[in-house]
Amino acid sequence: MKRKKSRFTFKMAKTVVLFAVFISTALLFSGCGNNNKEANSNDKSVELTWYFMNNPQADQDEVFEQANNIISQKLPGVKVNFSPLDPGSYDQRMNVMIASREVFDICFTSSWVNNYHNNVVKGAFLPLDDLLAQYAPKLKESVPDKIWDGTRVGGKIYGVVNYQISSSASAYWVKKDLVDKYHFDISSVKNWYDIEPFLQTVKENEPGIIPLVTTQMWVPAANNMGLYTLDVPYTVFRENDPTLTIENALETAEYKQYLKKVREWYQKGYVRSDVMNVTDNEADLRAGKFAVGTEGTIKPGMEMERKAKYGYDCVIIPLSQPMLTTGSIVATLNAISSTSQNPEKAMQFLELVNTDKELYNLLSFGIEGKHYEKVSDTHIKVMENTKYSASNWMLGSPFNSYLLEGQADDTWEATKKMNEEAKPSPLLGFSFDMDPVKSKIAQIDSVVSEMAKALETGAVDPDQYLPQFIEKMKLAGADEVRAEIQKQINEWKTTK
Amino acid sequence: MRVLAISKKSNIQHKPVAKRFKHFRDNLELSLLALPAIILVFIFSYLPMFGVVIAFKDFRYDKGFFGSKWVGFKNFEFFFQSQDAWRITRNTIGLNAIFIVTGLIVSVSIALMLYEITNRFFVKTYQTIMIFPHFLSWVVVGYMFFAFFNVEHGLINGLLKMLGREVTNWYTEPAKWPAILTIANIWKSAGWNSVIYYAALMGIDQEYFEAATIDGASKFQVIKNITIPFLVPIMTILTILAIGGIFRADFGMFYYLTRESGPLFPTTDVIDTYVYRSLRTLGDIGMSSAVGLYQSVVGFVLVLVTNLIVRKIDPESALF
Repeated sequence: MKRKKSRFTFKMAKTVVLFAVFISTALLFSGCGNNNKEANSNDKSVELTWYFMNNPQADQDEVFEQANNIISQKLPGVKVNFSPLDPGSYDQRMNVMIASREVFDICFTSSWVNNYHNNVVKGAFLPLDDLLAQYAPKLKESVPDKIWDGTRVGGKIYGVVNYQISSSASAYWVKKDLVDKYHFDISSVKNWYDIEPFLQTVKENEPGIIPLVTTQMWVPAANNMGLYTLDVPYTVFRENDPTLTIENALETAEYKQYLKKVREWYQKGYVRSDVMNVTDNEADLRAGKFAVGTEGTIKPGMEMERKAKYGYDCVIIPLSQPMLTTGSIVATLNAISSTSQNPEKAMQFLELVNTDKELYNLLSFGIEGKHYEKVSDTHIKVMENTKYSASNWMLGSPFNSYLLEGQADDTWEATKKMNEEAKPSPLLGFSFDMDPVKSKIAQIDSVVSEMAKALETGAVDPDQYLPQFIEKMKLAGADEVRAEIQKQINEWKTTK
Repeated sequence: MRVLAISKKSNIQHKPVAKRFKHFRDNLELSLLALPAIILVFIFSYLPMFGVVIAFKDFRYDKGFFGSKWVGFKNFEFFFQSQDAWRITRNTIGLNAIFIVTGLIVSVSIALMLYEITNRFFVKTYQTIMIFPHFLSWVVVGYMFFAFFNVEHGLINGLLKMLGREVTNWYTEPAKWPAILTIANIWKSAGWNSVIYYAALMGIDQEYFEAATIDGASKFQVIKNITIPFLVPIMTILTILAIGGIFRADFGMFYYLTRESGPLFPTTDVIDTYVYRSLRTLGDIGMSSAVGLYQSVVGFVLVLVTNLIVRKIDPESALF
């Protein structure tokens, strides 16, 4: 009896172990299984997945369905799975998806989110030169070559530019009702600090309004002072320096002056006192609680765009000349993933969305009569409380879109003209290969995130903290990194 | 038959092995109950260990695990060369040590106090109130603390103003934060941890207490000589386990409570937040895996060492 029982349990144990092995292998394979699914799809019908940034919209399914109707007419057999991800988590989610080699076709990438250069270096995207030439000649032609050049990494294009304003320039925006009320002469603002009297007026007379959104705006301030920044924090070169000497921004007189002023503004209450701990100003912006803020791009019609977004008029005060830089060009791109099963179809689709007005307007504004109304042939009015809206400058070239009511008829022509006239940065087309100094850059990033915010919001005393910041940057290897940048620039200059 | 024969044979030669096998066989049903957990641990803790190779590679997405280039210990450089290496190591170990000690004292005290309450209703009420913070995410707690410590609208500064005292900009005063973090940690975890001790207390035979009362022992003597000794083994085990994690800071806590305030870093920057900050823009998987591996190895060594010390002092309480 006892023997029988023990034999039974031994057998049972074996079964259980086998079962466990079976389950874990099944789980393993189901994990990998996703990768193979799409490879089997035949040429006739192809489903493309496109990840981009947008808050989920109530009516998006309807809009995407109509979009697919248009696509199926123009590109038979292609269906696009539009996958908007919410902006707050876009960076992280794309990072995980790309790192886990998820199969998808197109994603939005840029210099500021889902970083273009890092992804290219790590092999996340396909080189597009051949695909562009073969499958999207119209698209290739619609964007000037000097813009394409800005996207090149190691000589190859890895992203399709959503062709729009390509230059960057610093500017203040000022709430118009306040400008009118206090008769502030905006033409008096030439220099970064010329806004001060206005801040003072607002502080003294408008108790409910905070004069300035934040003082942490070194990059636009630097541009205004003739200093141009590179990707690596606090490396600058001077506008009129033909030798392209890279300087340590922290040790320039401009930076010292800037910190001093910012500290003064903080102490006078021109910014909120908890400015250092606030990460999101969007709600207060919509509520009109700020009088002045900064912009990194100037483009025709931007006053109307701001009004549509925030609901009040503002005046733009340009502070620097528009300049074409690598960073300003790679601000909005769509790239084809190296996991894509159908790169040629993806390229054809990118051409379609960048050249087809009907499709692009649908994705931008939704359905006519439901989400927007036509005011004229070229102008539209977005319905109040619309259930569909999108940041269309990430989805293709806005030059194909309707204009908003109030925007000048020649907005797009003016923008194109601005692009042509914008001064190309002396470093246009140069992209810094961080690999040789990667571990130093990691340390620099850490030091910057520790010191910069408190200093540049004015929350701490620069006399005490700036020397610390400089010292810590040196220890982190900023000097070596700068030398490496200089070396690569010098090499790049000889090949140009 | 064959099995029996083998076990009989080994019975003579390797007694312990056979004994162990028999032990397993006799408790087969119980062992089976553990199987789901074993499978989960295998899938989620053992299979991914394969990923440590990334720490030694220049990982490229398109080349994958096998195709990426080996770079030796290059990924470890950024961490060990960092000027802040000493600071973050000190903060991580120091703060975690404070958390372990204070957490232990407070949780055990709470458990002892709950044990003294005889009314079920009150015990449950107190427990619920104290466990509740455990379920709040650090993001939420971070905002709650912000409501207290905000410079302008914070409750604490409001109170200070009312009392005519000078207000403090809490988010630029590093000296105050070890205490604040300790309080936050106790508030959030002590109630939850006390449940384990409370459960252990419930298992003590009432006769000990009766005997002590008859002998005329005071409340304090009962706690010192009966209750605490019963708790020592479980206290030791939980502490050994906690020491294993001493090199791993609770990212949520250090990130959200301090609101990434630079001036606080001298006392609040820990390994996890440092790695996050350094690699956020660079997004280098190899480097972050390197630090993760380093943390795990140190944690593993620390568990072994602690256990060794415990075994020397009191073999009964050791984990293994």
